[in-house]
Amino acid sequence: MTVNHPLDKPINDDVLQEAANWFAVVQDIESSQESQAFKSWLEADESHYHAWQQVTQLSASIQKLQQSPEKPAIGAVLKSQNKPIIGSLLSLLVCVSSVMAWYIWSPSKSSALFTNKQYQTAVGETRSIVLADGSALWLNTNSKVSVRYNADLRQIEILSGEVLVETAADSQYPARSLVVDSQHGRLTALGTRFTVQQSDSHTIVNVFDGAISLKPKQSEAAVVVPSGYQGRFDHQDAEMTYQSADPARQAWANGILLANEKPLCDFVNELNRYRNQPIICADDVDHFKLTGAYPLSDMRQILSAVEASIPVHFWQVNHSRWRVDKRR
Amino acid sequence: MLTPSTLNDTRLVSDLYIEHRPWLFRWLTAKLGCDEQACDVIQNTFVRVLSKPEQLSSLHEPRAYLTTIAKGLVMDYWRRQKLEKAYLDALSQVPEATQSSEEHRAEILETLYQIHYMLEKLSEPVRLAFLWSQLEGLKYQEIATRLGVTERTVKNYMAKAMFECLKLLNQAT
Repeated sequence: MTVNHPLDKPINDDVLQEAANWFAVVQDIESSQESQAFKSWLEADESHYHAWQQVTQLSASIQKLQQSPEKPAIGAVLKSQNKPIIGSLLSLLVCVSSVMAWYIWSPSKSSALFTNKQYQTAVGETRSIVLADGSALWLNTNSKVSVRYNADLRQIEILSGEVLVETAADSQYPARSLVVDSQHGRLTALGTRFTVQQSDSHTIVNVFDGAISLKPKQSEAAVVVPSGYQGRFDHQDAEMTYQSADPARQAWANGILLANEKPLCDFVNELNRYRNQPIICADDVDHFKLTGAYPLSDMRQILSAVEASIPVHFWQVNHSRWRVDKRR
Repeated sequence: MLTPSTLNDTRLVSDLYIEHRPWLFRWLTAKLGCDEQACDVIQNTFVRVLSKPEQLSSLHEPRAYLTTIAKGLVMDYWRRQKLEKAYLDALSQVPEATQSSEEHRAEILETLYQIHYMLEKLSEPVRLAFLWSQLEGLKYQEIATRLGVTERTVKNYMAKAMFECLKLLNQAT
């Protein structure tokens, strides 16, 4: 396990202590204030980023071992210590505690909050749904999800497209985790508001409030993404990208397509998700940039608004295709 | 980038090497019982020396200095051997069919060594809390129950374990 030292000097102990404290908090994050505080700390200084990189590399390298068939052997070696007497007393304590724990924590099976439903939107349609526990779910254009709440888990499976989730605390005791599964892996909600967008190659997450934990299907390492950040994962790797969560990614839930200095062709690609007849973007107009809020309920108005701000025009080529070209 | 001071250091180190290698080699061979290992350790000793140029100019006791470094490396070597043996012993309980590939095995062993070294100094409950969380994926609630402490204490344990690991990582180079 190698560690990068892009700073030529080792990181000082105070910063390391802070990073370690945040590590402890982030494993079991309790509120969106905590997640905000973590974000502030992370951004306060470059050394904080580097310390955090060390933390994530270290915890990932251990978590990777969770799935090894050799895990029992690894665990045995790591847990062993040179004081056998204390060791056996401790393991006795563990046995007793586990038995007691089972009596205290066995879940009540008479919960009423069971759901097993599928939801779907057509191209151009967005839809909002309130789930059995009060959580809110928005489906973006051309999306499909399956929602399964049972005694142990609140599961949302994203089959295609994009969703925005705002979690509510579970009224059941003990509280169930809320997870979103994409084809690439599992996302555990540790807070309240985030979007998940699945494409063929990867799944992208934008966290607006609270935090989420990402676990790719073929890996045991989990990565935590706090609010204000994006994360992405494919079948094997997950990473928190140091990019800010994009507010445009939740604007669609309000029926708005947001653009902020967005290149025209990117805008058109985004718009095409809401259209049955895609618009083809000519190369010579890609340099134009758009800024504004466009109403998804009125496609015609969006096109007029764009034509009013830059010298392009949208036209229908045939029954299944449109184009946008420079206006002459 | 070769600056005048770096050139000077390299010359100092090579002088050190020429003068001290013979006794160091004999001493290490006796300790390790193996020529090849002795060579490895000597290489690493001088690499360490080169990485700390500020020590070179004020070096009054080169023998003591080199011995200290070499001793540290020998300890590392023995620790690795011991760990590998413990691991292989524990592994004999795991059915061979399900074990990982060769290269994966090497990766496991390396990670194992690094982590073990970091966790060795921790007290029992701190080490257990950290491993239960990271290796077994247990939540704080479960760990607290198992250790008979509060969740807050578990959180403190986690921070302590990680802090010790980070200190070692940042001291290693």
